[in-house]
Amino acid sequence: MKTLHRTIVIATAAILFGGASSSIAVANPARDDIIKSFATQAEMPFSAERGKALFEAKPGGGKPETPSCTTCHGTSPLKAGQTRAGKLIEPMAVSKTSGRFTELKKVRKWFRRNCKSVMGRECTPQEKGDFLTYMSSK
Amino acid sequence: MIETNLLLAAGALMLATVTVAGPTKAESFPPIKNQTVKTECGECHMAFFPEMLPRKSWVKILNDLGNHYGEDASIDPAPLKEIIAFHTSRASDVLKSRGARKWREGLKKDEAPDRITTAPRFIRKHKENDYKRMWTKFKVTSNADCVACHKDANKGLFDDD
Repeated sequence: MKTLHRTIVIATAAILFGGASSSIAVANPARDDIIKSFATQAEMPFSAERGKALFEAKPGGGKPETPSCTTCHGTSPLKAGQTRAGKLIEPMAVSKTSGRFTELKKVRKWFRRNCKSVMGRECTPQEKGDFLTYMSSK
Repeated sequence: MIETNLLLAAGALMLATVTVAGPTKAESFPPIKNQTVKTECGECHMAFFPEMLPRKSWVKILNDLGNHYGEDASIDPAPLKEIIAFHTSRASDVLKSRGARKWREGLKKDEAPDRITTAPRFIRKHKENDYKRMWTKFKVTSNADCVACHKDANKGLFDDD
């Protein structure tokens, strides 16, 4: 009952403030665990700035159709993107899409695919953590 | 949770309205019910109907998902196996349905198009001028986006041209 009550409060808050707040990070235990799991394999603390740079970079080495994360996700994580096949991609920012990066299997799958598409290689735990830190801060 | 339920209810209401309002049309293909296919294929594009390509095409496409039209779309072995079985058992040269028959018409022996858009049926049904007109009208960005013009494509309904 207590949980339900809390859910109502959170849901109400989300409805009330969801539209106006674009930069309030929403904490989520599952997401925190995923970020922590990358942290144990990373060389330095995660940085949202490095994550932003990675998101916007055109590193080369990947497939010519997908030079950057922004090719499909768009330049603003707060806005929806579009797959090359025309399908909408919900915003990457966790303040906009609360369920983002809360399922390890899904996170692994999309990092594997998209890092290979964009960079031609897997991302390092450092890069993954930086990326998730950036998206969690947005 | 409550927010999700509200969203679901709103979604269901919208779907119900569309279903009631739309005229009854003949199904080109039975809607895809396999959850693995719907999820894995449908994350990036509409889950295309297996009846649109012959068996050989699906074998080729689905065994090369690491290089899927310019993207890595690789899938774990277990769901991949399920998706391959689903598509190859319903391919245009395997299934006896009307839809499958239409999509194998014009295919040469052993021809295996690597795209739905190069299958003879697609070419026949998307004549140059009309196609271009629709692209402009609906601001289509990809010819993989069936739903842009065929609003009920996900339900297997293409009889709206």
